[in-house]
Amino acid sequence: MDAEHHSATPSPTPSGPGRASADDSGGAEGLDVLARELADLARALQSASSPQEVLDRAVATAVDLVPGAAEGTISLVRSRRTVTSAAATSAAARHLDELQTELGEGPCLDAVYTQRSTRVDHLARETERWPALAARADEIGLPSMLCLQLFVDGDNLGALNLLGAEPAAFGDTSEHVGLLLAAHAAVAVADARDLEHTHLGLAHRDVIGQAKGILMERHRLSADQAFALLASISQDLNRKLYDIAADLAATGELPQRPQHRPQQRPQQRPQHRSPRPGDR
Amino acid sequence: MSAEPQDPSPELRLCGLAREAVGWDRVVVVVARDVDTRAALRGSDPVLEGYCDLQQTLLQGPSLDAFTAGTPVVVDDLHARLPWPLLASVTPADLPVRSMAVVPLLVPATCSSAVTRRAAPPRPALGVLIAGRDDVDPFTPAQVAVLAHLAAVVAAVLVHRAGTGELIAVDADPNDDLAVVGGMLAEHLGASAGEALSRMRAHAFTSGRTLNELARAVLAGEVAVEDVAHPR
Repeated sequence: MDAEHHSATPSPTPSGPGRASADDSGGAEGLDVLARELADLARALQSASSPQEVLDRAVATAVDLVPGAAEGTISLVRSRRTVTSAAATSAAARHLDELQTELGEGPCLDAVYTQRSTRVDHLARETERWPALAARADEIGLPSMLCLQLFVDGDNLGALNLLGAEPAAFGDTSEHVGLLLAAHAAVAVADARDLEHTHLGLAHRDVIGQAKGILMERHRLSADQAFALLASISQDLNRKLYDIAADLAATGELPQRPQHRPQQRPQQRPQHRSPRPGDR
Repeated sequence: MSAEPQDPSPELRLCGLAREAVGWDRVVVVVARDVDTRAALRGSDPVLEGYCDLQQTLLQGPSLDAFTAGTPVVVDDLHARLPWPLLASVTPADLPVRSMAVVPLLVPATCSSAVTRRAAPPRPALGVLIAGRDDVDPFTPAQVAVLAHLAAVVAAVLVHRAGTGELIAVDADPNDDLAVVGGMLAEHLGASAGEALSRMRAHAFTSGRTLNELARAVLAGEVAVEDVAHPR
């Protein structure tokens, strides 16, 4: 994919928060610093224990490293309609995603689908492309944006959005550093999702097993009876069986059934403390 | 009438394609979240699986090292001096496996770029692939390299199938005995699942069982939950 970018207005020198980049920390030495920071980031992202942790670290690091960045989000767009913040460094950054969903326009809903990066120097002046969003730009309080594509999957999109506290806060250096970070973040996010898919199945099996064991010991039930009780509560509460089991395993308490129906009592209480052979 | 042999999972069928090139008598594919949350895939060798249980019980061994470090571990002879003293002390004398190679199933690279190749971060492991030989015939570096390539393909298939839910629902060992007994013991003690597992581990070690063997014994009524909770 070509590294195209769109700039709404000419880009001045980067300014504002964000650590020194390759350009402003001096030639080859600056590049070495950036390379080390990227390697550190890659290791940090790989060592994160959950997709959410990966997202949180990625957006925080981007705000820290990209010149001009004051706040940021990692946004997920579904069906070119709904923009949600998967991770955000502030409520203001999150509000940008809410506004895009509410108004049905904004960079995440069009430009970032086709361009790997999109720079907005002054959101309030984007009256032609996103007139409704431009009119409410003051609600965000951060006038400039740098939007970086993480992945496009049909009508779904992932983007790293950085916000600047000053107009035209992002320059070419910001964009180069941002694109490198986005490449790392995209790999890490995809890895984390793969890993979570694999782990979730195993975790579900064990949590449901633990919940069965708790009920078997508490009410002297067989494994099948314990499972049936979980399934029955799941159905009554219209919640996933795993969620019921996870609540029980974490708190020791079963979620309450609706008031209009009395709590189902176990019907069989074997004499022995432990289930007998053949119960399972 | 003899039982039909297990129809191997796609991952085990893939392994079968490399058997002639590498040479092994037994193979196991284990998918794992951590040391205590794991499942062997359908068609895995039961003897090697039992050896994995033993390592899980003792919290040491080649499979755990390969999984946690993300690098292959080769054992030339399981009956010779091993760097895992506890495991060596309880390895059954009649264990038929002698030489072993364990390779981690690493999360596949989902995209590449000059930057990511340069940074080369360690990738988390999804489980391990274990090949065993019944004779003392150590795996060579070239054979381990083939196993590592095989593991990369197996990991890619595994991730794809995990995304659809098929992997755990159809091909992972459905046995949840350990989790069930962990829950029973946690309830009995009024303690966390972690504390329950520690008690089980202690009881298993002193009674010469693996964790899974102990769980089966509790569920069969051969060992009382109270005895595991408060050993006499």
